[in-house]
Amino acid sequence: MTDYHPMWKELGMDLETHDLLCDALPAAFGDTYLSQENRPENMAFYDYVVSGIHGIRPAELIEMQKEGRKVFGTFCVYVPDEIVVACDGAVTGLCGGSQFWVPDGEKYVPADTCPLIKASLGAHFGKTCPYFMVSDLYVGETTCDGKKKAYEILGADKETYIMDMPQMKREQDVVKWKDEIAAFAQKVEETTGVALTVERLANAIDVINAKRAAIARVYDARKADPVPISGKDTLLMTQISFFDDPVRCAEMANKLADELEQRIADGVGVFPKGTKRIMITGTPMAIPNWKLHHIVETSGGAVVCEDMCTGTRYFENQVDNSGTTLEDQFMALSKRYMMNNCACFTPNPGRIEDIIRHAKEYNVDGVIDCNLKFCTIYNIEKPSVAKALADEGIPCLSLETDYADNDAQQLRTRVGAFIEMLGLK
Amino acid sequence: MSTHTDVWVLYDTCKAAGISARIAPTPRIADAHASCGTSLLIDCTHRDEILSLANAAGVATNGVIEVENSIDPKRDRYC
Ligand code: SF4
Ligand code: SF4
Repeated sequence: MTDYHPMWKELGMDLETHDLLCDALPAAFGDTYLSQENRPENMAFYDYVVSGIHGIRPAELIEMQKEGRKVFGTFCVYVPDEIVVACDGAVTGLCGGSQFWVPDGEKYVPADTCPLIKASLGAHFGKTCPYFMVSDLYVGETTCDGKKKAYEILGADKETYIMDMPQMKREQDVVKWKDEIAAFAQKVEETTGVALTVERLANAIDVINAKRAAIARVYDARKADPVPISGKDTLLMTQISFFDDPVRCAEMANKLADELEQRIADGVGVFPKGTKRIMITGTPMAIPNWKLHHIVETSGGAVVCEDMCTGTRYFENQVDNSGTTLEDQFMALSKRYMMNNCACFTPNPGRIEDIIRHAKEYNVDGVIDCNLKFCTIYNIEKPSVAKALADEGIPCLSLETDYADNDAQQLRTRVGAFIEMLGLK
Repeated sequence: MSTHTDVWVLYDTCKAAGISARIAPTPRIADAHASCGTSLLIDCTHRDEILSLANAAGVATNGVIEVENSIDPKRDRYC
């Protein structure tokens, strides 16, 4: 067995507490993932990554650092990976998805802060996540209020660069985001010591576009009935994409998509044809947050689409790579990223349009709109989401949850009743 | 499994031999040292066959641990 303790010690991690976290993973992963029937063979790569989640990729990142390359920890899909990749850096997504980290986070922010923020702070300050420890720089963004304040707290302990996100989507906001991307590029150049060129950025745009295209193929396969892959497995693939090497990520997603396309041709699915098709929208689901997907898929439903940042927003829309100057390229990046319809924007009609479009494209029977507790912005959008779906005749269940286990039974009851109701339609 | 490479070799070997296996986090009872380790989940009935395949492929294993009925999809214990 590769013993990662020396590496974790070197990173300054709290080994004793970290061992407790490692304790929980095998059973949770077994119950959630290995209990599934007829999984695609190409999920083996993702099982492998999870099995060595705190060892394999962090070890690669450390090797990169030995070559003088830098690791950027990010918390939002608005931060353009292309800039970092162009300067030979690596991006690792840092949003915390485990209840394990929440108590440590509550030492730094009020308990009525969303669990994603608390878990992220807990992972940093508790020194129990190698991805936080290995990051040379955190990159935050001015999205929701909780995150803005959390970055001040993180920034007091590790260098944290903040990108100032527009709050609206007017012409001038796209220009503003372009300027923010240009300023970020300067910071990345300073940090990595690599000068950004048009050629470097064009290559990086190609790399990330290829990754998006590969993930899109996996999602496209989910439009079939019977669906060839579970929602849980797709979610895992997406979650891992946030910290894996982007070239390998595309390669693995393409392999998985090949298999899924073959399954569709052969009429092979993971649930019987006609299983109620559920789309989930709302707050993102950072690894290892698998709770809602697992509950849906063990209650008679199949999750066929996630309209969220750990879902469609991560891969939809390619960056136009025809620019011949850095200015052109920054603008192309801004245009693509500004197409993401996060609830932090006002007004935000694009999110509703996306939800309706996805519900139709993936032929869903019902939508679950779920936000993490204390996430005000997504919670407030719920009535307008429900109304838009009702206007289209698509049933919607609104839920709120966190990372703890104790509401699972109640969620099972509500999700079970919802799926049963869909069957009566 | 001794190394992460070994797990892949054995996984591919099993696949080629038509034996189903899945890569999984090492169960804690097998790993007192909590190393975030990889293991191969197999059906106990294939134990001897897989061990001889591992031997032939030069894969070093740390041992075979029987885990009885440890998977429960309705347990609702997340991490
Ligand atoms: S939900 Fe909003 S703040 Fe969160 S990752 Fe997505 S875009 Fe960023
Ligand atoms: S879930 Fe909501 S409150 Fe939490 S970080 Fe995301 S946008 Fe902010």
